[in-house]
Amino acid sequence: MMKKVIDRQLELGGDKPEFYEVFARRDSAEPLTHIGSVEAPNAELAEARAWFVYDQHIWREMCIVPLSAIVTITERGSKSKVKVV
Amino acid sequence: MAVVNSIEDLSEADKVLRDELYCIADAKLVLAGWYMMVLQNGRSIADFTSICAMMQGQYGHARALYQHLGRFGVTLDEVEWTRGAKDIRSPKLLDRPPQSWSDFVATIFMAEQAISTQLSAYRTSLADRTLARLADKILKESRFHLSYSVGWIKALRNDPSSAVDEDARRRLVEALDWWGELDQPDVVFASGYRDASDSDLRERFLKAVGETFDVPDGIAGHARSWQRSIRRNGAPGIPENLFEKIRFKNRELAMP
Repeated sequence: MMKKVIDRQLELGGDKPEFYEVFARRDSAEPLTHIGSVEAPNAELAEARAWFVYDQHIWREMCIVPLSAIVTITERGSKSKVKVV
Repeated sequence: MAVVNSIEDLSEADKVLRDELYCIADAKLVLAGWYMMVLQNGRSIADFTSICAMMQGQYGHARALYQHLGRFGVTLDEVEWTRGAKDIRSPKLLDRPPQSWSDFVATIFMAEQAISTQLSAYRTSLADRTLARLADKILKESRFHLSYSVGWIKALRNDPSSAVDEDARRRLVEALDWWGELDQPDVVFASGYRDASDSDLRERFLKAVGETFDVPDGIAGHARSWQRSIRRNGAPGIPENLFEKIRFKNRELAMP
């Protein structure tokens, strides 16, 4: 059987993974909470993937932040992702 | 808007509106079929989930619109189970199967944009408030379908050898078949069901497409024998092999 080979540049839109962290809340009384992350080559695809993947609730508010934009404090230099709360 | 029990009781405007809703709902039915067939080509788990969700969304929208056709004396049973390939009124754009991943992305972009553009003109309809609310809900959900295709177009353009722009040019000509013959009377607009004419909606569509792709000046579809009731040129219906793939099956398993 032929093994599927994925060309990251052609099929995933980039040669290295780009992550976006996803935050959401169900109503205005809840704090905006980190609910997970998605891999995507740009914000549009990240928006769609976040919306479709994290559809366990009807969110009042959802937003995404590129992982590269997050300034880590305790995890500085460790390359770890933001932890799920 | 009053519910009618028989097609003979419909006004001319209602008949044309019913036809247009058939076209929009069938476009969603066939597009759902596209997502279903392409599902296994999702490029990642998140991509697979997204295509799955868009397929589910399109089926839901199609069925909600079919349900709304009940206002014109058409039963859900008739719409979903008694029609053949010749009765389906989806856009010609979706007749030709995707030729590649980039062609798939270009086509769903055109189809989602065309359907959303047409539905956007029903959001303010005072003549049919139920339809207005339904259109609004569908448009809010479809926003993420457009983000998905725009995101993929940008990603594909990172590769200089990508054919996505050529695919889009070809698919744009096919998409314009939906607004083929604009000289014909636009009864749905004149009667206030839609707040924009077909001619304006075609321009709105081209403007929206132009934000992502270059739209050549004076681009036109082929308007040889366009019929408003099916929103396409040529003989009615879709190819038999496409119908066989997208038709509802296993009636005993279907939700009521």
